[in-house]
Amino acid sequence: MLHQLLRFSLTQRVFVVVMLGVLFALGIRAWFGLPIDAFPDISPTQVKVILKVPGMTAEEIESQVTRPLEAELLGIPKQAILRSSTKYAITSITLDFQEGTDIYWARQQVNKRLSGIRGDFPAGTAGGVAPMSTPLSEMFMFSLENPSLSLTERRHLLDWEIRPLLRTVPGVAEVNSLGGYVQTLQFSPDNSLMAVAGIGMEQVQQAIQSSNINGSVGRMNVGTESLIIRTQGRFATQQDLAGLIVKADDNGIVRLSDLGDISTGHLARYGAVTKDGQETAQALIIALKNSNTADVVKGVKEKLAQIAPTLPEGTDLNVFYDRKTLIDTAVGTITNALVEAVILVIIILALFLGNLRAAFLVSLSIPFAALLTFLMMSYTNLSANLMSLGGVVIAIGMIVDSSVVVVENIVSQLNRKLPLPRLHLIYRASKAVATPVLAGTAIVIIVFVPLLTLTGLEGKLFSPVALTIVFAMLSALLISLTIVPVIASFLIKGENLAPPKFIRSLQRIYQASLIKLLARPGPFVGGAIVAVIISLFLFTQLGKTFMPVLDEGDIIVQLEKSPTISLADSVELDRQVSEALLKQVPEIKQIVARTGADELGLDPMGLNETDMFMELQPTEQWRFDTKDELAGAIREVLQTFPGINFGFTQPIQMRVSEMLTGSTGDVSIKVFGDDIAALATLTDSIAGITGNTSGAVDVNASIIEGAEFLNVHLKPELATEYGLSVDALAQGLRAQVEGVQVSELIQGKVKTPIIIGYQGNTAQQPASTNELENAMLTLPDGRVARVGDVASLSYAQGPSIISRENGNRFAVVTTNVTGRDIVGFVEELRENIHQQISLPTGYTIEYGGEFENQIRASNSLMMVIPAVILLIVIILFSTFQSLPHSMLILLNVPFALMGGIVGLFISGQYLSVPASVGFIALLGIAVLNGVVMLSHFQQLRARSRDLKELVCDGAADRLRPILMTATTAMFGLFPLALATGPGAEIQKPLAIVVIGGLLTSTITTLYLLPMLYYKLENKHGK
Amino acid sequence: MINLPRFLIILCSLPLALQAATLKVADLGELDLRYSQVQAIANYTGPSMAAHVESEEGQAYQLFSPFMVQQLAYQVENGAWVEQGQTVLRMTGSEVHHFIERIEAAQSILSLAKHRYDNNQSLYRQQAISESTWQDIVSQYQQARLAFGHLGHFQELIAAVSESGDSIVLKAPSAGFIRYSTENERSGSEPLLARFIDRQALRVSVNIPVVNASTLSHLSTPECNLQIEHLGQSANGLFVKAWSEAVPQGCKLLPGQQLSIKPGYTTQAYLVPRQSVFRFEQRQQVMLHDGQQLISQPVQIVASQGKHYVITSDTSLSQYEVLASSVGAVKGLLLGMGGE
Repeated sequence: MLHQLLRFSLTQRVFVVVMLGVLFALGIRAWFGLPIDAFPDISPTQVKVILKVPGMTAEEIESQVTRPLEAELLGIPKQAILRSSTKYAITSITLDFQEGTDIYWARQQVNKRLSGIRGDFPAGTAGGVAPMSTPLSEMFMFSLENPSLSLTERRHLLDWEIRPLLRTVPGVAEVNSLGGYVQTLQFSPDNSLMAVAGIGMEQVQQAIQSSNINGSVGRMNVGTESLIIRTQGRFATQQDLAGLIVKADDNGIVRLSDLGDISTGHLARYGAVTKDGQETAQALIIALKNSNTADVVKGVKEKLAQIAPTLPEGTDLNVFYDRKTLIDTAVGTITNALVEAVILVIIILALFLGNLRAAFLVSLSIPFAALLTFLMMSYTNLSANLMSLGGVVIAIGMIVDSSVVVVENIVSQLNRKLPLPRLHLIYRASKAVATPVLAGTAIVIIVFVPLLTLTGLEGKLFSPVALTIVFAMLSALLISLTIVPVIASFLIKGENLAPPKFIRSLQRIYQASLIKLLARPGPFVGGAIVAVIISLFLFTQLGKTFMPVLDEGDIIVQLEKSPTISLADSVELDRQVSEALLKQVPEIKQIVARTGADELGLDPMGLNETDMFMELQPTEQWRFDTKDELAGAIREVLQTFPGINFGFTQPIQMRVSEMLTGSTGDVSIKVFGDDIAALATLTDSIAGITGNTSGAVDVNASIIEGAEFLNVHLKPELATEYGLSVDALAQGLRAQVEGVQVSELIQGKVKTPIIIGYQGNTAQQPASTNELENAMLTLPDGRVARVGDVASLSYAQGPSIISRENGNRFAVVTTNVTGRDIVGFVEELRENIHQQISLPTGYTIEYGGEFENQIRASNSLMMVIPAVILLIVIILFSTFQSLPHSMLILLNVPFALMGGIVGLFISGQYLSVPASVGFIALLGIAVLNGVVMLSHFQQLRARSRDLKELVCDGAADRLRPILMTATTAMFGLFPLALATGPGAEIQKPLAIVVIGGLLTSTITTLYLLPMLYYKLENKHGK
Repeated sequence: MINLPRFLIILCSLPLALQAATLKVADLGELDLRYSQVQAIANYTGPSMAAHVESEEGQAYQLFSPFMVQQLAYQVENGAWVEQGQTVLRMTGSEVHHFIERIEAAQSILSLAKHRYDNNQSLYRQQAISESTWQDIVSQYQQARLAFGHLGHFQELIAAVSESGDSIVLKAPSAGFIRYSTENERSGSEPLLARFIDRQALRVSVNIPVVNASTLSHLSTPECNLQIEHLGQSANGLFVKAWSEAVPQGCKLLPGQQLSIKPGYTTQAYLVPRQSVFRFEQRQQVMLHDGQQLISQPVQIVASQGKHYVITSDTSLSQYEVLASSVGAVKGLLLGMGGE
């Protein structure tokens, strides 16, 4: 088949050239059409349900909403895990489905179950299935600045002018508004006036609801006409509401305005946003899952440019997070590495081939292979991102190998000046090397294909790498057997492709040294073995991590304040911290801090939690060389604010971390059980044991208790007398404390909630237990009673958060591990816990966390590596038809790994998933070099020469291709290893491993392999 | 030189301070620390409540009609001040005519009965008539006198009678604020026509929860402050009626008026900013500023007053300043929070 392909290419050269042009054009089109993102989509098929139940405690929501809904959802097939987190007034349930499950099907299933049970939820439950987004979907954020607008006005602008327009941008799943005040139309009843009028709260509520509607009647035929009739009652203005007649009797009519104040108020706030310490309003654009982030950002920016002139004068849409910046930086880093790699490889080709035409011809394979790769990426819906483009960079050094072999052989054939047609000579030359070229390519591909079987985060991250390398290698193979011979037929004019002078010198030196070593191999072999042993020791000293942290360019500082802090105080502390940071760390351009929950409930933080988003100045303006040093300066400032916990993260890192485990830390110990108090006691004990286990750092027990409630318990004997129910009591109190939405005022596109409440009315809103006790409650019959007279008030402790997994409550202890291997740590910890804690019946413990990922990744790699080696052995055996020869080549592997380990050790990089992938890549390249060397020995062996002479000459012959293969691969990766920009962190360990491994494996291929071959063949000869 | 009052305060609060959490100001880093002087107060204002301008039960002069009302026209506004003898209402109808006839009849009967009584008095003394006959004569006389007297008192209030005799105009029996009777009150055989409330009897009443009644000191309207004079001696369910002093003229309050007023309560308390109070170890606390340290002090919140809380404490706080900013962080510190 290969021969037919070659024959066709050389006989249909014009067609091939035309096809080349078409492929070129298609490739360029594919490149520009590829979705661009910073990361591949690492999220599983995930559906999130967010339900808000105003005023309810976590325990109540759990029993009335979370638990019944979970019971429904657990019946959905194909689900991997069901998690929930219930806090005050909100519950968030997340379903992860099995890989490959269609997201639309999954959402439909969840929606169906949700709507089936919705009727059973408490009144006022709002929300539903969250937008179809991923943790990486938060891709654009801006605050609305205008000093002349109030916070209510800013929020109004965001909600009713900007948000609806942004939602029309293709790819935008939702626009989340945060901060400011949501305007309401508020009726603040005067209990004394209500009492005088003998009107209860329910009567007011009913009057508003029954009046504020337009009813449908039907059609009436009037003569030959048909007239549509409706009843009209909707309020159009605040005055309409004020004029609402609540009661009419012989004593006259009572209007709503007679019973209290009607004013514009605001909804109870669950969160706030500050910019540089001053409160503001913010919008967060969430992209649809699988959308092209770059396009969405572009669309959003265009829409904002359209909106901006229509906004009030002085309004500034202050963009403080633009994912495109990260995409540009990350993709820029990789693209730069790609360009540098191409240039370096071309220079090396020119140097080693010593012929510009040949070098040009080989170099042509790089852009064509890259474009073909992009074309295949486009067809397989692979986005251009840090990982996929990284794969192309890794492949650059290997892409040229097959073309080098073909071109070198073509030139050699042409140099022989045989009396045959030129095209035929090129065909023969190409045909001669077609099989080895295919085998070489197959080895590299086979090395990477098993990576496609990786699961979890590592699978999602490295599948694109493996795929692009496979695409690039296949493209390179196709090009080397089609386009390269054709172009060679036009370009190569019988040049002399003798090795350049420096190669010849190198060959001489190499040959001489090899002769010496063949004569006295002991010290070299011994030295090599010692080196391997030393590298094994170094391996144990390497730091281990699951995945290097990607520098996203921005910093998020997470603050945690005392659990029961009020929103106002929390925001005040944010102001203090923001101002101190801005003053003392000039590298920070602006700080946008978000406290509490967002509008949609996608990130329902407590009032004591703040994410401080820091936009940084360009690095040129920094006083520091690295981001770590800058973080150190920020840390110093934060440490001057005692009583506030803080932590560092980044926008994507934060979301990925939450997505993966729901908790961060190398090891998480989950305790499952029913009783919150028992869980809290157990986690405290486990945290103590964990802290005492060697290697544990940053031990943290989740706070599940700690919420303090004021229980208002209706006195049953009085309740009966007054006809007061618990629900009516709750309604009455809610109106006083938080406000009850009873209807809405619709004015065009603006819907303003109508609230019965006292938000912002400090004179009437209870602000202490005593005041709540003394608050007057309008009873159903219109009489009033003091709350403290009809109900008793008491403080109670309760859970602040209830986490559940697959329908079971759990609490978690997390820890990081340092100075020892995690698996050993977990085993010791497991033993310690088993010995020291006696679990009550029905309680179980599970171990997870990032350790879980590491274990899964290690297990996967432990399966992949033997599989790769086995496949290589099969290929080697089929190539050499000899197991000893195959093993001889495999012997190169430990020495290749040795270089990788030393490379990691010297560079200070950790052993991580990318480093492991680097080791796998190394297997292929190292084996390929061995194949090049050994196959040549075998060819020469067929000519029955003297073994020593054969080995020396053969090795010298192969010096150039082996050095070329190794150096192109190495130099192709140098830009990646040396890159410093955001995005380089993940590929860097991989590049370092491959470069280090190639250095040692090249030495062993050049010396150890000929020596061992000599030894082996000598033994056979004897 | 020892500052004696301060020394005594510190001495008194020493046992509490020993239990209390203490923080050094120097340990609070860059936290914005602002203090507010504790302000001692003797009373505070509670949330508004419904009040009624009225007289206590039995304190108003009630004018009853001895006959059924057919048509009644008040000649002064409800609640208006009227002087004694001032014409206040007109009654019309056949019952009025009957009433006049009844007066005349009663008068004739009385006259007759008196005549008989006078004539028989000497006969009785002479024992010319029997004991039982004399008793009948006396009884008839007394009944006729009472019957006429009953009608006669009402007759005294009649300022004018129409020529036809079916309409009378009545005078006010006493000075006071006139309060019309209600339809129900006018429906009996001897209906209530009006009440006349003396200025000293006009008060503001509030129904106050029994538990708060003892500390209620005054009621405030936009125009005046009215001291609470006394509390009702029986409760109406959960409430008891509190009565103010008599309403002075300048208060612009009208009898029967229902209004929303601000009650004032008496208590020995302190005023501190709302943001200075926090809950720690299951008690409300404030951080007292004492030189270079902050000491936690349990307090009880009584009420809120604008941006302040009215608090009480077991110990005197008047000499202290309380921490009024960064209290959330200070609480975090007390909880052991802080750091990375």
